Amino acid sequence: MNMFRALEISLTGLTAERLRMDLIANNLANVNTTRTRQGGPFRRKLAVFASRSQGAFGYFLKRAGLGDSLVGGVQVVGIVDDPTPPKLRYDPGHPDADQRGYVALPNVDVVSEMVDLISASRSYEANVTAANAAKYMAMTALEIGRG
Amino acid sequence: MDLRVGSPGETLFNQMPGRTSSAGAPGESFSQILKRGLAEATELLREADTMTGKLALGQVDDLAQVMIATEKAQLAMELTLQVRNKLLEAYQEIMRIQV
Repeated sequence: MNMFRALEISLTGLTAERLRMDLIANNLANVNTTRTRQGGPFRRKLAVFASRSQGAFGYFLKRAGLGDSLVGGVQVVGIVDDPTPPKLRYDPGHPDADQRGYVALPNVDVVSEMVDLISASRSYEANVTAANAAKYMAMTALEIGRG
Repeated sequence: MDLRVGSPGETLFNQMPGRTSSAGAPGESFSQILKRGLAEATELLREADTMTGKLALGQVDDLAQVMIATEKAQLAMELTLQVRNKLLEAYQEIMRIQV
């Protein structure tokens, strides 16, 4: 077992959680955005994570001596829009109001974004702890022959 | 898992990153294995150095990557140090043989 692989796997987790944090920050910043380049209000963005193990193909890659460091970890396979419909608020004086006087607001719920924020930062912390533990294990293993 | 009997230094250096799980070419001398291991440790050190430089210049946006690279370099250095200690021990043991 490659002793650096645990570190690399934790690194993929850290990168993925940071991306999730960026998306949450973007959602929170745009909580009142009624105008986007595509038209319509801002839509909440979600990150889609997939695991990086390649199944049977990865096994054969490993047997051939290649791609050992590609197995394990997480990768972001896409950033998708939340499909729930936007919130409507009656405000006929608003410049973006439609004919009936309703303004379409983003489908971002601040409370659930805060919960996601806490979850992302705790996951980040957990990955850092795992990386530290892996490093500690490797360092202690190097002390086997000492003395 | 297949058991492969090799010299301790050989199997230790097979733990370096990016290494295949093969035992190296047959007939490869121990000094070549040593050189290969040292080259990979130097490579890790160089990569950590480059990333730290980029961080100082503000060109890197993923701090975690820099930290992990420096951790890997430090682990590789510790491993090299321990291997050197073992080699010295073995050498001294052999030199102590009475002729």
